[in-house]
Amino acid sequence: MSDVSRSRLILTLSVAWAWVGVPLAWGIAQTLGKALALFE
Amino acid sequence: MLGFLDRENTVAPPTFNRWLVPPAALSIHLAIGQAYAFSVFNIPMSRLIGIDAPAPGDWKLTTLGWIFSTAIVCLGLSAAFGGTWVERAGPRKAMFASAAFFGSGFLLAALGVALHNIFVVYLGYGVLGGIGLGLGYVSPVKTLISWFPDRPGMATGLAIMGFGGGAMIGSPLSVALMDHFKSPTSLGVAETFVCLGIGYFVFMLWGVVTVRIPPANWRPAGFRPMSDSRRLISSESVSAADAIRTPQFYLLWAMLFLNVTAGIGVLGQASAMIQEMFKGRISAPAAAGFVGLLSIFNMAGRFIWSSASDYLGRKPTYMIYFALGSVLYALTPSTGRMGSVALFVALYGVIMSMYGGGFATIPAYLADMFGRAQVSAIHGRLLTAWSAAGVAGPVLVNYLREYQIEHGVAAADSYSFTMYLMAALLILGCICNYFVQRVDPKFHTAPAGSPA
Repeated sequence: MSDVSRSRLILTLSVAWAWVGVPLAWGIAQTLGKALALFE
Repeated sequence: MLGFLDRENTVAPPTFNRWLVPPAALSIHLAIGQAYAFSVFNIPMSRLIGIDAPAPGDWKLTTLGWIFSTAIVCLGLSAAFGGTWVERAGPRKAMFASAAFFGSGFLLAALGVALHNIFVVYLGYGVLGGIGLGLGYVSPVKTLISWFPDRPGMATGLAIMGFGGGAMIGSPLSVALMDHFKSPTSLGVAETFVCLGIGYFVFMLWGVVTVRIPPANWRPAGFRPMSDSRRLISSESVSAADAIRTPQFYLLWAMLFLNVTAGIGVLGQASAMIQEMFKGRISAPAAAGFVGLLSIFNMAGRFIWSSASDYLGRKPTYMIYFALGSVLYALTPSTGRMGSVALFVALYGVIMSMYGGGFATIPAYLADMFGRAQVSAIHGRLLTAWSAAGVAGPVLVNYLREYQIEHGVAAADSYSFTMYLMAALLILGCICNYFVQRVDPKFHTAPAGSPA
């Protein structure tokens, strides 16, 4: 695999996982924020 | 445009990386997982006329409860009857149909809210949305198993984890949108539905565009398919029509039904139970935080347990769910009596992780038993167990609790009885799992290893 193809693949994989990972991380952070009330 | 959706235009080029498929599947499951967060609309939708408090003519909570129930029933029915179409159409067309149904379901529900017509809401979110849920749930399963024949549990666990995580996005997002759109004369529900319908449709399109099926006879480097009778893994395939003639299908159906009934039953009473058991120590916001924490355990369990099943084997993993689960369900009331909040939360968390794990491991169990040729169609038929449990779980728990309280049992003790009953259901599940054996070779009819 050439360097260009490898870079394109890494970029595509990053965008694909960020597309689902960022909203999921936001949702988990929101939920954990609420869950802190359990330990106050 | 329609040609782009066809199965033959979805075959991956040689340079395609299989790790692009899990995010495609996740974009569908994270969206449809919003269904678990629908309850955030219950209170606002019961005050659409009165705004600050329910007014005459406002919808009752019992009326609103049917929106989610209709969606779950339509999920099971569309997965069962649409599973064969999903096999034929391929993942891209099925994902697009799911996005279209789910998105338009929100738009029609918004119209129902604007017109204050509950039947339009039932038809929108309940029927159209429910069909979107069912098609979306099964659409990426076979594709994932085909790309990851070496780790099918991990692959399907990743996607189905998204369904558990979807509520964590859907709930705060819906609340934020309603806050943004609310005014002195409106609670912003219809506008929120419109935004969610369009937003989820666009979000799901990522999966539609990026999903690919492997070329015929593709396999990962170094992987050799093999039968393993000890682990109940078959390299032969069974058609969906034949699968439902095998006792194995009904044993797995019963296992899913029992696991989900027990899980939904205890999840539904989690908030009330922790407040009753630790009176004066756990406030309502803390109980809401506890339910949020459980959803994280539920989501994580889907990935962790399902991945572990690739190494432990599917049958031993379900033995753990049922055997360990029944012990933990039975022990939970004792932690309340001991006054240990930390232990109570920990036990409940493990229980919820195994509830999620039961959902996520079932596609790989089906692929082991029946082969992957028609696993989406078989999985779709099996999901009717979810619909049945979605009705049975809450009904069983609520009626039992009412019956006990009417007969003088203290509120905290009534929860204990429910936990013991759910433990008994899991023992039944354990027995069903014990009887799962290899499928009779006379059912091996479908061509093995057909394209995803």
